[in-house]
Amino acid sequence: MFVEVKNLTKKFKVLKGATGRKAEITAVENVSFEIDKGKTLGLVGESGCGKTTTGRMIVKLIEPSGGKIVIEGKDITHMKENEFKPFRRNVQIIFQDPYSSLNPRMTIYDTLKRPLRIFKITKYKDEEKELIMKTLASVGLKPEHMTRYPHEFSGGQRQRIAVARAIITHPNFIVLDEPTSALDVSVQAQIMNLLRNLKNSLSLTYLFISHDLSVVKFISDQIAVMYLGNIVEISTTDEIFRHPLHPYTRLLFQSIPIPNPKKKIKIPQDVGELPSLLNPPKGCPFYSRCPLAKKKCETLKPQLKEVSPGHKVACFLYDED
Amino acid sequence: METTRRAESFFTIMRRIRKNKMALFGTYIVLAFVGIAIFAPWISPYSPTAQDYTVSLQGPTWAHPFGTDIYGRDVLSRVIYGARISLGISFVAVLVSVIIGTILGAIAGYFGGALDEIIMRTFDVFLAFPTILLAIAIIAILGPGMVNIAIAIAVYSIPQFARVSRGTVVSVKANEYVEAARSIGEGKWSILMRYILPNSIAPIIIQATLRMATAILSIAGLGFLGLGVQPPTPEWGSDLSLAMTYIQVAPYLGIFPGLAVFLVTMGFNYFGDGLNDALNPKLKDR
Repeated sequence: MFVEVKNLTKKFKVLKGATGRKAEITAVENVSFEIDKGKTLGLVGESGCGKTTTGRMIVKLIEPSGGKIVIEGKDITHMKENEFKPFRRNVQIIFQDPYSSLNPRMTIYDTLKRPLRIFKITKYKDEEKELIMKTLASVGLKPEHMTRYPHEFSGGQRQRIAVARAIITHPNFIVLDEPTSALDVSVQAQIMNLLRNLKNSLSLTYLFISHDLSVVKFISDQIAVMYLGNIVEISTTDEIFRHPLHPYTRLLFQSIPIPNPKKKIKIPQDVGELPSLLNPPKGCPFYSRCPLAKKKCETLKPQLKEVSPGHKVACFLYDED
Repeated sequence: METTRRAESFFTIMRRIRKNKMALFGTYIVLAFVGIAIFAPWISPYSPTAQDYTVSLQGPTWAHPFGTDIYGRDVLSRVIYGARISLGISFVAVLVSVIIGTILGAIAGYFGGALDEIIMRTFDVFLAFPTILLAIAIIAILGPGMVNIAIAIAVYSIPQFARVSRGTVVSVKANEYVEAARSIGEGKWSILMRYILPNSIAPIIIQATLRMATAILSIAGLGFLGLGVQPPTPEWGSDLSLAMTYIQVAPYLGIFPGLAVFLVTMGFNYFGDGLNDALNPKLKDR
């Protein structure tokens, strides 16, 4: 097991209402998954479901409130920043918005040089320059791009720079937080191909976060579906696309556009809004929107259960009794 | 924050200022006064302190275009040298307050929590006093003199720079590149110095320009009250005060030092406003 996440939970303190009463919301609740070396886990769900929070906890940009994160056999959950620093070299993150993830006052060379200096990867300036040029080439950028500033690049090129910054320290594990959702569709495909090629050539392990199922399908070996801070279904990509079990997963899959105008698709009915995290449902988190809800779903929360080898789902429909 | 997305080049900013008539006017005035201050010894026709009782209290003549004061000193030369004093003191005072204010404000905004509260509430106490009263109080303690005036101006300017810098830092630190910096293992100070401060300077520069105007006005005000630069050093405020004494015999005496204060203050204000528009074009082009 390369990355192991167990019962990961994040609670945020918020001020509620005009009176400023303190309340607590649970953004991520008891999330558990494992990623094998060289594999990709796709984490899907709509905005606000906690997928980004989960990704940021794993790279320790956010402190978890509970649970355990184990990377390469080491428990990093409660490491202090200075203890964790050596791990930062191996664990990187790529952000959604390449317009905001690059420092506008640093040239590309300076941006890429920082991780090398921090981890003392290169000894000499020549070596440093060579590695930066090599890394730029591997993400499809030219050496003359080095001296330019981020605003001189397009969105796709910026995302390539962000990828270069993430891989320059030769990490083993990268969290990709919606790396293509801020890009044009044509550029999305290029970046996805780049990410897949890098994964194979550098034998990287990915946690790929996205709301776009077609993108996730392209790169993932396994898919976990999140809803309101909970994983509701997890399985291999083939299995989940062939036999989606959870009503939410099915609803999500119905929303994928099919590139064939003749084929009629059943557009999901009005499914309403995501329940407020300030007032979460008592039973199944999906109860308020579920077309197949039963009485006990309102008060009892289904746990994630293995229904067939490697396929887990949290829904009472699949209980034996 | 939108302005941090694109690194503005110096030329873009100059082009925008050139399009803005008032800003251009302000820029020229500021440049002219800076030139006068630097080249004062070469362009002033007389020594600013040389007394010549044979020409006491004369109106404008070819020999003395701005006239002479009670001691027969050339008013033109005094106005020229006055630019040195006013711009010099205010530049030093503003520079000191930019450095101290920006750093303290940035620390407050970046680290937040108790440190933020301590720094900013202390500055709130300073901000509660009217600036000129605070300056007078400081001069009363330290005594008059150029350095003390600079200190007095810096003391009331630091909290204002701290406020601007804190606010900007709070908004800049929400950018993803700050999180990206953490994810590559950058330390706190490195993040503050390399990622946050370079992206926070635009509002500080604008504030500094506007503050130059206030500082010059304060120096003249203190000089007028006799708390500023002491005679015989040429200073617009104290010259105005002297002119007031003889306003019935020589009403023209106060015109030129007063005009100098007015022009340079206006120049810095227009320049600062223009700079603000040039650095935040989105606010203007609507």
